[in-house]
Amino acid sequence: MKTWISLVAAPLLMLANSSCDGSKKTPATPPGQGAADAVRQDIPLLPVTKGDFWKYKVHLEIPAGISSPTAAEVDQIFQRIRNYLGKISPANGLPEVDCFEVLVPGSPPEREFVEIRDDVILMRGSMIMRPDTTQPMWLNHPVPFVVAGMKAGTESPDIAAPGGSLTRKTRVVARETIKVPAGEFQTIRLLMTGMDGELELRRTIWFAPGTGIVREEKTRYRSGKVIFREYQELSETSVKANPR
Amino acid sequence: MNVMNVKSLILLAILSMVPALAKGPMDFEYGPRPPLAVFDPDEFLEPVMAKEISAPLAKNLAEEQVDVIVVILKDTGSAPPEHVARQFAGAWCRTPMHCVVLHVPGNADTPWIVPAGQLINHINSAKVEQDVDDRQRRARAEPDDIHKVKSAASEAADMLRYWMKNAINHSEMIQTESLRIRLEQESIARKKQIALFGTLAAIVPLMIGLTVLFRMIRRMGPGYFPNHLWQLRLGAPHAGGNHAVVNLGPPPAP
Repeated sequence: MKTWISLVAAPLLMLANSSCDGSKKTPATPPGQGAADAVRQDIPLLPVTKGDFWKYKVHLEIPAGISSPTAAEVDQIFQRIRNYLGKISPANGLPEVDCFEVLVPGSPPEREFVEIRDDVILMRGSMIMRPDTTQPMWLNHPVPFVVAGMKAGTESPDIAAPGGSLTRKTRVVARETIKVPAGEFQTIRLLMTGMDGELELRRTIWFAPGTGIVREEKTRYRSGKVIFREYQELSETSVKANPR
Repeated sequence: MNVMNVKSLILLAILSMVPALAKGPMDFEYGPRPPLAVFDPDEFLEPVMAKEISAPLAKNLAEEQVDVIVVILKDTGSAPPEHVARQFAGAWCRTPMHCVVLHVPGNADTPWIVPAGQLINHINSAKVEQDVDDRQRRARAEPDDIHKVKSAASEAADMLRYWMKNAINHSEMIQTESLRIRLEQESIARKKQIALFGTLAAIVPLMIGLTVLFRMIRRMGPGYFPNHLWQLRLGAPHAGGNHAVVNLGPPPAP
């Protein structure tokens, strides 16, 4: 009888041993857990309500001789206001998307069209509100601008318009904390480079999840020369981000 | 000359060669690395500007091990600028990924962005070349020396930070993937073990049950004495056992 008991017990004991084998430790954090946490920390990327605003202090520099051989150097500081207008259809036949109106003294308003979701902001188009402008510049295929959980050292797929006149390459350079007049923010630092026809663009954007763009540097080049440079920093906003 | 003298002479000769062999940073033409990330011996930049350019580079070095140094020289003589930049990198930079921004005021091709370090060798060289070309082109498009230096320093820092994180991501991705595969293999092995031991654990009671059943069935039928085991007695009673045989026939003929 004892032989039978030992025959039955042995495999069960071995089974128990194999389940509790301490030498094969599984990690405390399963693969991909860190990425999921990073995404969770970033959402919602931009919690907007109609009437929200962002005020920026803008510094514009245009070197001498750009607009004409005798043109003087431009060095201006002014305010730019971005207002959230809600969901708007940019033109007949186009879907309703999130719309921001950008106001600069002395220039016609510009509307920026994006799709804001909790975990991604997609670029859709823009339109300068001149009386003769009826159609926006519109992207049929939305392009991701910011994605929750973006990691430094990654890049978004390159964008190229048919014909190659417009190209964009976006890289996440870092996730860093920066200080601007509106406060201190944890940001995603994006470097966007590309061509608009014969103009080359270099744009660095610091996007704070929960608040929006808090800083931006934009430089344009033509024929191997800088023709335009602009820095802007967030000075005030109505958006109150949750502590992250 | 005795043996001791010979040994002393050899030792002396070796010791006299050591300083020539050990060419360290102290022997570098421009001396040891300065505290700022901007080396500007001829003071083309205002000290305030040098500090302003240096501050973010020093922060990157401290926090991310991304080392960018800016070197401003009157001229590089007959040496190619890239070679000069590499000399600075070799003498002053110790991180696995670093970059020297060399600016020669007045030179039409200035500034030069020269990345170096062990990690750079692991990046696709065409990609490195393209990145460096783009950034040099933009820095060279700046209107004056200060902006050229600022732009090149910022471009180099952005480039290195991106590459460094990219390398870390790549290594993390490999680690995560290998961990996933290991976990999957462990899970499959555990399932196989469970299945094997489960089968064994099921077979043993089944065998017990079958044996018991067999015995019970046998007990229910009529009982029989076991068959008599007939054994050949080999000529008994004459043999007398032990298989000994007595031949009782007529005696053999003489």
